[in-house]
Amino acid sequence: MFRRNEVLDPAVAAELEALDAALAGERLDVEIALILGEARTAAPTMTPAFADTLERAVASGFGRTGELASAPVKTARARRPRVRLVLAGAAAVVLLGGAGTVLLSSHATNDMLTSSSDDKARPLVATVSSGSAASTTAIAPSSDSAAGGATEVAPESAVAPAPAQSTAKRAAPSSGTTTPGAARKVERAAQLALTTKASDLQEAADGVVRATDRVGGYVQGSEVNAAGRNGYAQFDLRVPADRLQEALAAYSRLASVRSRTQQTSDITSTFNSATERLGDARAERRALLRALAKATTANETASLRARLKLVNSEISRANGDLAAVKRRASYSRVTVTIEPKRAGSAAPAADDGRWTPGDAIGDAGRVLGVAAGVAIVGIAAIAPLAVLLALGLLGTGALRRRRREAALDGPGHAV
Amino acid sequence: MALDTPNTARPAFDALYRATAADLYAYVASIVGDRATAEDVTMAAYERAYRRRRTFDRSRGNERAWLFGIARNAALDELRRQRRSAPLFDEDMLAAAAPADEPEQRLAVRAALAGLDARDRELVALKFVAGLTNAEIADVIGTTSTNAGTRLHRVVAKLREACHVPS
Repeated sequence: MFRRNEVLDPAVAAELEALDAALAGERLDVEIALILGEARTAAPTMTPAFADTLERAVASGFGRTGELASAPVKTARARRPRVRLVLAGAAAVVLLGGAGTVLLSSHATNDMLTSSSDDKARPLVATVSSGSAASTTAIAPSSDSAAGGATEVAPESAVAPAPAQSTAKRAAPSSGTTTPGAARKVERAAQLALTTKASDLQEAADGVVRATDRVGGYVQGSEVNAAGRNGYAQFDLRVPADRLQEALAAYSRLASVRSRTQQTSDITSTFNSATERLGDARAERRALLRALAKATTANETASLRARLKLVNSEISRANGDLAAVKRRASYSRVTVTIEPKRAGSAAPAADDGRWTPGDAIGDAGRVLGVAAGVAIVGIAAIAPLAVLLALGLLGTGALRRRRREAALDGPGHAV
Repeated sequence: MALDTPNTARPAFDALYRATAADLYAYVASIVGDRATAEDVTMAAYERAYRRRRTFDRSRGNERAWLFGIARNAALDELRRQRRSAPLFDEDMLAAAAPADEPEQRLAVRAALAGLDARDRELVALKFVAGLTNAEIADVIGTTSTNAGTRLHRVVAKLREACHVPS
């Protein structure tokens, strides 16, 4: 409490000094001696019984509560449970508030940590289409493939689910080209986006070519620019369909996988159509050849030869179409892009699955950031309560002091 | 700094108790005006002081003033609870200390002491009975040393007037 410290009147100060000197016996003052004597004579003294009780209480450290049980005055011990109750309540409120804040923040932390490793956890999506039908299937995250394991993609029969096949069958009858139970032709394609250090980009690009060669594929087209941080590499590859997964696993080991998608298309109807067109053309040619052998006139022979020429062209086109469809089924198209890592890019540095000191520092920074956020939120939530509590305590203290002082001013004290 | 350390816990408190017991009881009795209540309050004051001895801060005053402050709060709380008046000093003691052949001047001083209001009686008890300094009194009653000195001077002036009664 603020108290104004005034200067004592010199005369009053002198008289107080004289009073102190007289009380100390350093100066003879009859009046003060008289007052002192009367005050001390009239002052009550403890009875021997109480003096003994007090002595024992002090000697025992006030350990025996029974000794004071009959006293009407509230002792510190008697008041303590209430104080403890209030403190426990306040602590409970603070703890509950803190726990709630921490829970919320830990949820936020999980979100943050999840999003930070989003690229690792993000499932790859394979879009599977069969004729006019298509389905989407989640497959293993890229971190698996990055760790060296080949991504398991559902077998053909699984990725082209029965309903999709049914749809294809229902759509096919009009053309009459789909033979139930015949081997289906499936075209597969994949896109792979890789990131690596700018200095390793050329090596990764070379690795793509080597891996393609290893699986018996070939590079349809490529563009590589290893110019530092702005470098990039892009490949249009063809790999044998039955070694697609092996090739993708090999590419994934070359750098960090940022994204990977696969598509599967059923091209059975296209294959059957080309096959039937070829068969029809060949049958027509055989018929024309037979007719030519039986031709008797020059005009008839010339007409048949012209028709044969057209049919041969048709056979050539049909052969080309069939070969193209077979290529689509036997070789998968794979597009691989490689980009250098950029600071703050979505692809984290730990995509190789190892927890490095750099990761630890990053995690520590995030944890500290979250902790600071929690602290700020906690303070924001608790500060108003603390201010109210402090004001309440101050007000209660002031009120108690006023009431105590009023006890001396009560009407009963006017003697 | 606490009143005691683990090594000096009991001796320091015991020394304080022995140095103040009689004065504290007299002071408390001067406020509550009743022997039984004074005993209860004195006991409670010492117990509170004992329990809180580790919270004692010497930079805010000496242990004597601290103890009397605790006793004052206990006494005023009790007084407020009882809502009754407190005569300055024990009536029986006053009667016993007033023989018939008492000089008139002494009787006048005694009457003046009895006529003081509660706040002035408290000052007299703290100064003349307990022997506190003006600074200690200020700490006990929660005011400035200047204010305590001024009020004490005023009380002493009243009592001096009583001494001027011709004998």
